Amino acid sequence: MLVITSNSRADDRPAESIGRPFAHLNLRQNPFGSLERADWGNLAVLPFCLDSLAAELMEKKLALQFLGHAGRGKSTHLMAIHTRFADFAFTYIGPGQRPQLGRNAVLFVDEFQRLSAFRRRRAYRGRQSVVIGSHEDLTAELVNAGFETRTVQAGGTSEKTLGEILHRRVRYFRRTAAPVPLVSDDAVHALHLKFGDDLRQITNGLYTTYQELSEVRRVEMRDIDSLRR
Amino acid sequence: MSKCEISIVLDDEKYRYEPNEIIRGEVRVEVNDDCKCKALTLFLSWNTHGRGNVDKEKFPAVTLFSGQWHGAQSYSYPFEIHAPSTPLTYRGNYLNVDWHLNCRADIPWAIDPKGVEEIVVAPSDSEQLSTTDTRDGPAIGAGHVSKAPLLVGVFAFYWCGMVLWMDIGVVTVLMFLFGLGFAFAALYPFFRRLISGAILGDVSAEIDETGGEKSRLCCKLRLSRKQRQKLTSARGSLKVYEKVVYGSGTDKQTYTHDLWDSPGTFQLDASPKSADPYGRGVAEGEADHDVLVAYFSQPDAALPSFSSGSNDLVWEVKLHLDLPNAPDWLHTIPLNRSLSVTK
Repeated sequence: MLVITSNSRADDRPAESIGRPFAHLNLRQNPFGSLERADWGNLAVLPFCLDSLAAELMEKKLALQFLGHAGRGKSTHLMAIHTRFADFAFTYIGPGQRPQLGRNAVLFVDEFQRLSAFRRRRAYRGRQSVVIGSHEDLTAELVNAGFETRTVQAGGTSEKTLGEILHRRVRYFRRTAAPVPLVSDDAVHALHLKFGDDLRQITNGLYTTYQELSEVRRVEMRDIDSLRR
Repeated sequence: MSKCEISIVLDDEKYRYEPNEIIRGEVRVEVNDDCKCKALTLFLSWNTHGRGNVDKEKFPAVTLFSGQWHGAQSYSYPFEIHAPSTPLTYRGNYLNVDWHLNCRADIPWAIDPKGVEEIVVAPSDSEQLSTTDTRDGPAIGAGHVSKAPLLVGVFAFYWCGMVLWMDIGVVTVLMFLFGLGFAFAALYPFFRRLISGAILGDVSAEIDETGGEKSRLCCKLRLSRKQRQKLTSARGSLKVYEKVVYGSGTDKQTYTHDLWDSPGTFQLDASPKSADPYGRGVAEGEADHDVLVAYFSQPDAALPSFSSGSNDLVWEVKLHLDLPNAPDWLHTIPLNRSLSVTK
């Protein structure tokens, strides 16, 4: 577990001056803060058509596994697909946990490799399809369980996709049709050079930048101090 | 196109309300196509946003209408609803708490149309907030020691013992030293608390805003003469900080952001015995006790206490008593900053 501490005195803003959040940036909240699961479906930039994939998951015996390192978008992809199956359970398996996975037709599990092989095999029984996030390639056992298996390697985000992800996130929290502070192309280029596909690092730094931004303007790399430190 | 569009219009374009104030406005429905509305409901909800995982809560809904709507018509439904009293709207660095007024139409066989309006729930000035001690009583016992470090330390010593049974070599010596270091590191907080508690005994601490003066907190330590003679110095600080948790499992990250840190040094209270904030009279033998007093200034900004699953705005006083030739006595007193009860 990581513990991060920052420091500043409380501002002297009196209670009566609290206005609408982030209205000065024409936003509803900091676009790089935590998101609710329902928001992921609208924000994820996916390498496939969500509608046709959702239909396939209900028609075929399909296994879709997302592989990749932390912060590369495995969970984002998983949650985006899950928004089309909101009635089905979505399970995140923490270290040492052995949760009940329910009996839904489509199984959604993140960190699936944390279950023992025996429990995983039991979880496949009676499923129409499975959608999993994992650090280990489980193709062999998915094929053995009778699933048509597709693997998506999360990560390897291009500069163009990174720009699309960041812009989509800012625009999603737009208040009115007026301009919003987008990240400049030069900053996207510099971020991609420096952090590659580590979206978590990038969004963490941008959170601080947007927190301190005082007006609507292009966000340049010089604004993103916390990432340069 | 949805069957209808819903918007919430607040009277006088007002969006800022004091706790428990009446919110007045109307829900406007523009109907595009004939439809049946099973229920048009209005409810308040709050949610957090920022660095931490999102926490939220919905309040019970009131039904404004149910029945048939006809296409190309507009309907309006006036409402009055009490603004909530807690949690208060808060804007911080890692944590924000915001209120919404939500309206939803339950239309059979269609996606339910909804309207949302942001509101701010805050007192007109931060003077209406007061700070209180959340404990049941003033006594701070000597014996509240977490058992977890003790278990870890004992296991580390056991590990050292096992290593000693092995053949002596560079690796086993390193393993032994590692185990020994780990054992002392784990056991230090346990023994520090145990030793300082045994030397000083039970201490009584009372915290209150000083006689209606909102700008500072008064902390009184009640010690016996014997206890006081053991002290070299006593100090403390009022701390206010945001603490939020993002993610879960191995991905869990905790972020803290310090908002206020006001130090104070305890001095012997020369004033006559003041009334006890916990309602006790001056007990027999009280004359044998000394009262040490420290004052901590409070922030002007509205920083109401907040606590939910992954997001906290913490108010606490940290006490630090120096004991000669022994580990220092440390204790944290949790506080609550909220609307004054008298308001």
